Amino acid sequence: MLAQQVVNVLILGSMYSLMAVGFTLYFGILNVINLSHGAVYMIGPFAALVFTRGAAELPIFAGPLVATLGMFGVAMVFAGGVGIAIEFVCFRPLRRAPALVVLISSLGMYIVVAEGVLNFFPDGANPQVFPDPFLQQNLFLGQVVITHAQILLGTLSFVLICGTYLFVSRTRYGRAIRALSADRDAAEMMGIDIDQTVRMTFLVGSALGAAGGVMEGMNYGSVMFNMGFNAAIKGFTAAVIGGLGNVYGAMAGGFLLAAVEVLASAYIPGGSQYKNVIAFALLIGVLVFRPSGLLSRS
Amino acid sequence: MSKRVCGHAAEEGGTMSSLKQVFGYVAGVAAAIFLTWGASAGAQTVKIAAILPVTGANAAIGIGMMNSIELAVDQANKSGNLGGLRVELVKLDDAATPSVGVSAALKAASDPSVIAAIAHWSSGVALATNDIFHRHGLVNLVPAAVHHKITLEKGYAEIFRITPHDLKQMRFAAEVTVKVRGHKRIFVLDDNTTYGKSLATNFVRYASEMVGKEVIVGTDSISVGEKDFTAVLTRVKALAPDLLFFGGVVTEAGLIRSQMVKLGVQAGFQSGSGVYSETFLKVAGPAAEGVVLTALEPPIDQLPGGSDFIQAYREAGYGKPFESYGIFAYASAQVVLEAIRRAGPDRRAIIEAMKRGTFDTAIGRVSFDQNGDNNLNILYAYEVKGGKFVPFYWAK
Repeated sequence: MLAQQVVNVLILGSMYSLMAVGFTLYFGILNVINLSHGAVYMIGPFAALVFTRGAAELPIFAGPLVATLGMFGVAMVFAGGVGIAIEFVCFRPLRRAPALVVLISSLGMYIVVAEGVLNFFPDGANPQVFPDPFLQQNLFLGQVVITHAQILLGTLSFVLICGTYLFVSRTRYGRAIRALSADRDAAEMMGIDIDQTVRMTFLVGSALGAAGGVMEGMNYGSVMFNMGFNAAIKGFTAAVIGGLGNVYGAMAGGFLLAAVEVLASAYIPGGSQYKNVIAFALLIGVLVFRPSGLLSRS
Repeated sequence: MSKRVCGHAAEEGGTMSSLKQVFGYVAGVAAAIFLTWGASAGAQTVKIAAILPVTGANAAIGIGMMNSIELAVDQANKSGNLGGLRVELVKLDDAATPSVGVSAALKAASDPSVIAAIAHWSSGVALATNDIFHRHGLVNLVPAAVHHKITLEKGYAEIFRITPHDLKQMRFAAEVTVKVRGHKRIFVLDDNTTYGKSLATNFVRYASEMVGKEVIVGTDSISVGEKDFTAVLTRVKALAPDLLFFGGVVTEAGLIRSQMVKLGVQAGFQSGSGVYSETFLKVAGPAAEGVVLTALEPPIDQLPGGSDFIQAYREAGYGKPFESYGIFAYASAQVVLEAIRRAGPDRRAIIEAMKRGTFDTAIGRVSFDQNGDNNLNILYAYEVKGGKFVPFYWAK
C-alpha cells in the first residue's frame, strides 16, 4: 500500500510542480501573483482536445506515444501563445501599477477565459472526456497498479522539470530572468531587454502550466472549464512553500504538498476530509517560520 | 533573492479617487437601467424569478433547468391562458454558492413585481435562502435540492418542493443495497457538502438499521473540486469492501469511479440522484458499467408529459441539453404558473393556491403535504448496463 501511495505522490506532485513553476517565475520577475495562470492551465488541455478530435483519423497519430507527444506539443505551444497575449493585455499596461491592481486584472482574465470556454466550447459547461492514448492499460508490479499513461506522464514531467532547470540555470534567457528577479533596475542598466524577458517568462510559464493541465486531463480522463481554479490554488501553495521566486523551491514544494495530502488521506483515519486542512497548515507554518520558503538561503 | 514590496503610496491615492469616480459612473448607469426597467413593466406583467447555478462547476445542470423553465413560461404566455396576465421570467444565478444565492434571493424577494420563485439546485443554497423567502412572504418551489431540512426544519409556509427529499431517497437506497443487492461490506464516502453529507449519514443510518452496524466498514470525505482520489481509494482497496457508496454529484462520482477501476478496487459503486446524468456515463466511460444509482424519475419517456417535453425542448432550439433536472424545473414552472392563474398576482394568494391545489404537470399529478413536499414520490434504482441506465427496482 505504501508503494502505491508513493506512485500517487509522484504523479500528483509532478502536476503541482509544473503549475508552481509558473507562479514562481511570474512573481520573481514582476512581483505579481498571476491568477490567470489557472486559465492557461485549462486552455492547454482544451487545445489538445480540439487537436485530437481533429487529428484522430490521421495515420501519423496511430501510435499512443506520438499522440501523447503531439497533444503536449499543441497544448504547450497554444498556451504559450495565450500566455504572451495575456501578458500583453493585462500585465504590460499595468507594469507600474500597484500589485493589487495587477492581481485583480489577472483574476478578471481568469474569469473571462474560463467562462468563455463554458459558453463557447461545444457543451462547455460539462466535463469533457479527455482521451488516454494508452487506453487505460495497467501495469501490475506486485500490489502496485500504474497505468501506461502514468509512466509516460511521469517521465515527461521529469524531462520538463529538468529542462526548466537547465533553461533557468544555463541559458541566456534564464540568466536574464534571474537577473530581472534579483534587481530589475540593475538588470535594465546592464542592457537586458525587459519586455522580451517578460514575454519569454510568460511563454515558458504558460507552456509548463499547460503541460500540467494535459497531465491532469490524461490522468483523470476529463477536463472542465473550471479545472484551473483548484490547480491555481495548489500550484500557488506549492510555490509559496518552496519560496516565491525560487524555481527549484517551487518544484520541491509541489512534491512536498502532494506527499502531505496523500499521506494525510492514507494514514489518518477519515483523513481525506482533513487533507486540505493539513496541507494549508503546512503553508501557514512555512509562512510563519520560514516566510521566504523552505528552500531559501536566508 | 530580494523582493520589492510594492511601494506606490502616491499612485495608490490617485487610483483610489479614480476608482471612486468609476464607482460613481457604474452606480449611475445601474440606477438608470433599473429605472427604465421598472418603468417598462406594464400593469399586466408579473414576474417569476428562477434562481439556478448557470455559472460555475454545475452550470450544465443549471442552464438545462433555466431553459426548461423558460420553455414553460413561453408556452403559458403563448397560450394566453394566464387570466389576462403576462409572465416575465427573471433569471438569476446562484452559482451553487450560498452567498451568491442569498443575494440573488434578496434581489428577487425585494422586487414587489416578483410574485413567485423557482429556486435552487443546491441544498446548501436552498437552506441559506429559506429565511429570505419566508420573511418576504414569497413562495419558492424548490425544483431540485433534496436536503430534508429545506422543508422539514422550519416549517415555513412559503417553501414547497417538487422532488422527494433525501431521507425518503436514502431509505430506498439502503433497501436497494442491503436487501435487493445483498451487499455485506460497504465503504461510505461523501463530498463534504450539505447534500453529500446528508446522503451519506442517512444511508449509513438506514443500512445499519436494516442489517446492523457492521455492514459499514468505513467512512471518509473528499472535497469538491479535487481530482485525485487515489490516496483514499488505495486505503479503501485495503479494506476490501464489496460496495462503495458515494454521497456527491456527477463530476466527482465520475472521477472516483474511473480511479477505482484504474487502481483495481474490486467493489461496486452506488450513488444518488445527483449523479443520475448522461454526463456521468460520458466521464466514467467503460468504468460506469455496473454502477447503481437511485434517481427521482423513471426513464423520462415514461413520465406523463415526458415525450411532449422532450419534443418542445428540441423545437425551442436551446443549444444546451435539459439534463437530468430539466423536467423537474419544467414541472415546477407549470405548478407555479397554474397557481398564478388560479390566484392572480398576489404572493399570499399564490401560496394558498399551492397549498390546497392539485396540479397536472409533465411528471404527473402534483399536490403538496403539510410540509410543502410533493405527495408524488417517484424513486427508481438504475444499473448501468451497456452504457445505459436500466431501471431494476422502484418504490411501490
